[in-house]
Amino acid sequence: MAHKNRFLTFLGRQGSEKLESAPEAGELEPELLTELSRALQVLEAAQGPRGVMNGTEDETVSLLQTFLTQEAGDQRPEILQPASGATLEAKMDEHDILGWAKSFFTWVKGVTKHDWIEAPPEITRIPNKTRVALFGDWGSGLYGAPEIAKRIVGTADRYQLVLHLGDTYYSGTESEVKERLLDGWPGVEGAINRTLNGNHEMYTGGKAYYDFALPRFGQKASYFALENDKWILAGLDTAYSDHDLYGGQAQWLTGLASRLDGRRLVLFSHHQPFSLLDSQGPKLVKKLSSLLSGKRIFAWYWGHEHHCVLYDQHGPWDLRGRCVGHGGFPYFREGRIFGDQAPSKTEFRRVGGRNLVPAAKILDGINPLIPEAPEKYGPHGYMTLEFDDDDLFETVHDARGDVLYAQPLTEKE
Amino acid sequence: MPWNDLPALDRKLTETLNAFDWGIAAAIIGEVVTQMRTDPDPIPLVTVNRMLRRLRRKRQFAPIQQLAEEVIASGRATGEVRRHYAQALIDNGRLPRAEQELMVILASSTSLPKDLSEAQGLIGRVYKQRYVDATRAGFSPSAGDLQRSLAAYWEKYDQNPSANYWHGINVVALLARATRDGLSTPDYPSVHELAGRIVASIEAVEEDNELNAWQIATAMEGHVALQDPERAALRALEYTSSFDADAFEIFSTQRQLREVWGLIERGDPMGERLLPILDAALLRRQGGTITITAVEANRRLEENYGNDRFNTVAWFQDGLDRCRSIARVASVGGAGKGTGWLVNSRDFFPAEPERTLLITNAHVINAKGFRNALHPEDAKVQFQMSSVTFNVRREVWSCPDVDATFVELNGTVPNATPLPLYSRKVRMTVPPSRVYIIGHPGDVLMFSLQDSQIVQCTDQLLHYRTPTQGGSSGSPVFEAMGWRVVALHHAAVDSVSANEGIPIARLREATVIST
Repeated sequence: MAHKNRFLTFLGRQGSEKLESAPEAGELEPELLTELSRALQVLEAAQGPRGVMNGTEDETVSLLQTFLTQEAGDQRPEILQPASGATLEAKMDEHDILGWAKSFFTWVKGVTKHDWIEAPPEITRIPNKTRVALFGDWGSGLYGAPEIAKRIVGTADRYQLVLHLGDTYYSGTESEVKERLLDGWPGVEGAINRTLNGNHEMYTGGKAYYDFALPRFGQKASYFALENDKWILAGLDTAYSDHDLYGGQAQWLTGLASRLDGRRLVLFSHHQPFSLLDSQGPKLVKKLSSLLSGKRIFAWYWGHEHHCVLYDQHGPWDLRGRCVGHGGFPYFREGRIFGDQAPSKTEFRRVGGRNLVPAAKILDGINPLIPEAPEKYGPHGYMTLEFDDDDLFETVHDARGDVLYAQPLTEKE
Repeated sequence: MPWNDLPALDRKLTETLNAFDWGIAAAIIGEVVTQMRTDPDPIPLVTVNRMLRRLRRKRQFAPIQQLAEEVIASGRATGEVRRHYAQALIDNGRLPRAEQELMVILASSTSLPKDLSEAQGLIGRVYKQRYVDATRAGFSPSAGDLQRSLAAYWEKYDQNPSANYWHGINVVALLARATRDGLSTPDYPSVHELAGRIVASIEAVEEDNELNAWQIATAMEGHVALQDPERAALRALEYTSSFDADAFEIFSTQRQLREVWGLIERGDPMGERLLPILDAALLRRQGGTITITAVEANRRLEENYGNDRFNTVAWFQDGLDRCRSIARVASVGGAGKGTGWLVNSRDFFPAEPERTLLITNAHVINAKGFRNALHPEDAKVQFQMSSVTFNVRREVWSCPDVDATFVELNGTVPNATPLPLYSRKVRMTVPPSRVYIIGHPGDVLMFSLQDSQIVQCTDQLLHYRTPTQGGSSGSPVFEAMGWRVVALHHAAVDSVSANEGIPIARLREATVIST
């Protein structure tokens, strides 16, 4: 059975005191035991309905999930039990996990970061009419992810660019990158393929991302630029340094902006510059402040948050922001905003702005691709961007390709 | 009513305050106070404090006073209850009584550090209020009041500049006020230096954390001190959009700007930028409405809401302006036949000299009598907005296939220009785009704005649900964003229960090919 179909269900903990007093605890250094106890609290808080993959943006938790389902699963296959949808579920309580803790931390200590690679100066040319398939946080291999890939490949009007906004779960190991990202990749004949670096890839130092994903796509670095006569599309690596721009990316982007010559600049990144649902991106905003306040960035597409959000135009920056992070990882509906009752059909709901974050339309609905608890999870999906000379037309699809929203982003002639 | 019903009452108070129902909020507090006098069990102070905080956020000082006085009378007052009480007294203008209450907090060995810090700040506020009240009443303000206020704020700020920034910004405001009033303040840093320091410290916090409302307001006031209206306005927008800035916070900021900084709405670049933003936000949080100029309304709609929920005044004005170029096409006997509109000949016949033409349907005007169309010689063209009527000089081009006729008129319409065209391909959108028609379904020029969605479109035809009648034939079909013509309306189509127009791109193709 492939690794991509494995996930961890944490059966619960009984408090840090019991964890520390367990016989296996003596094998762990106190600080590692504290960290494990903290991670289990986070994991427990993130645990949804049984039988559904879950996760957090916590590094230790993600690594633990990877280790227990993959490394431990390979060593002792009996811990993996068949679950629905041809998946294998590792059900463990804190004592089971404690038994693996020592080898887990040994494995974690061996994780090192891949060397940074600067992007080459040349920019890849794309046609003036280019259709882009865009999806984020897609590397789960489950739920909406394979459906989305099928629709992208099967669309009659072929895509010229297939672009993933990053995150391969749980931690972007070699097997996860190969099976959850590359094996299921929507391979469209003749299309350029690009995948951005995400925080989950970086939990294992980005090694598999750099060593397997980039060579597969002929992508020279984790950030890149594409251009035609009317547009420059720039993909940024906001994960190598978490939620930040590492290396010379800010200067590189400023250089690109100086070559716009009447063209429009569109950014793609894993992390968000701003958000109504999650943390803000002050480091990104600060490093790109002159481009933002100079209104040089026409639109910015990001993932990381597992939602689909279409922001109103950002007034001071004249920027159109979109979050497209609902590609395949299960995420809970925003009950705190929309109430516990899911709408009868998938729809965008409007939420007011705050601080300098503009108002937005947020996709709400159920997720029929998570049959264990469809009403608890938000819908998966992807976007099509159609660059047609000066025009940019956006379409939001659900995971099965149905159109939920389709509007021009460039309105003024 | 046992106290175990208190959580429900507490929730009801929150809902009532959020619904801006001040009368019911006061009644709830009255109920609580009555219960306090009769119930042998003491009311939980944690709930009292929460109620006081919520009342304060909506500036409901009378019920604050009522509830706090009852708690104080019962001998169970905490520092927080006394603080809220003192705050209410200040806002009700009872400054000496407020000062006494604050002195009790400062002298009490049970006061918490937060209570002491806030009480010290409120002492500063009492003297600041005394100073500005005297000015407002037309008396000479006491320099001593200003100095005492300054000293109270400075002491707290100086103890911990990174935490007590709101005390610090009050020092800045008072120093600026002292300078304006000709008072000397040699013991303090300059306004510019201190404001710069405070703004820098908040910006440093912002690098790693989201600012709270008070921090944003302090940064805004810092930019006021640094005389930077643009940055101050950006901070004001940020502040008023903040979840944790309610009526109390915004009123406090607004009062500070008006009373201490002396900002005014007109003739003051800073006041003109900041005060309308704060006024509108305060009214929103107090359940009120606001009257503003059309220009201002326009600007704010664009700034705050974007363009997919509202139409601006300018948008309606553009639509009205388009009416000058739209005409009723009638027979010489006066019977209405359809609608026509002005175009630039170059938009359809690029090789010909530039002039203004009228376009309508071929079934409205056609020299060969297509579908009982008026012969050009029998047509009158009335521009109602300009009160002028013309004859058709000649038919320039007519094509039944695209149901379009271009004619030359025997005169020029005053103040009317050819209508702008939407030259791109029209696409189906989700949700569907709107289109609007202006035409002559009867004798009078009318807008058709209701139920006006595109239901289908191809390169050949555009179908839309916009209501029309016979006289609409030949009307311009406008896209919703900028009143550009996307199609020439020509018929209702029963099979799709919609109206049908010929897209501009198709018309252009037909005219260019045939000429």
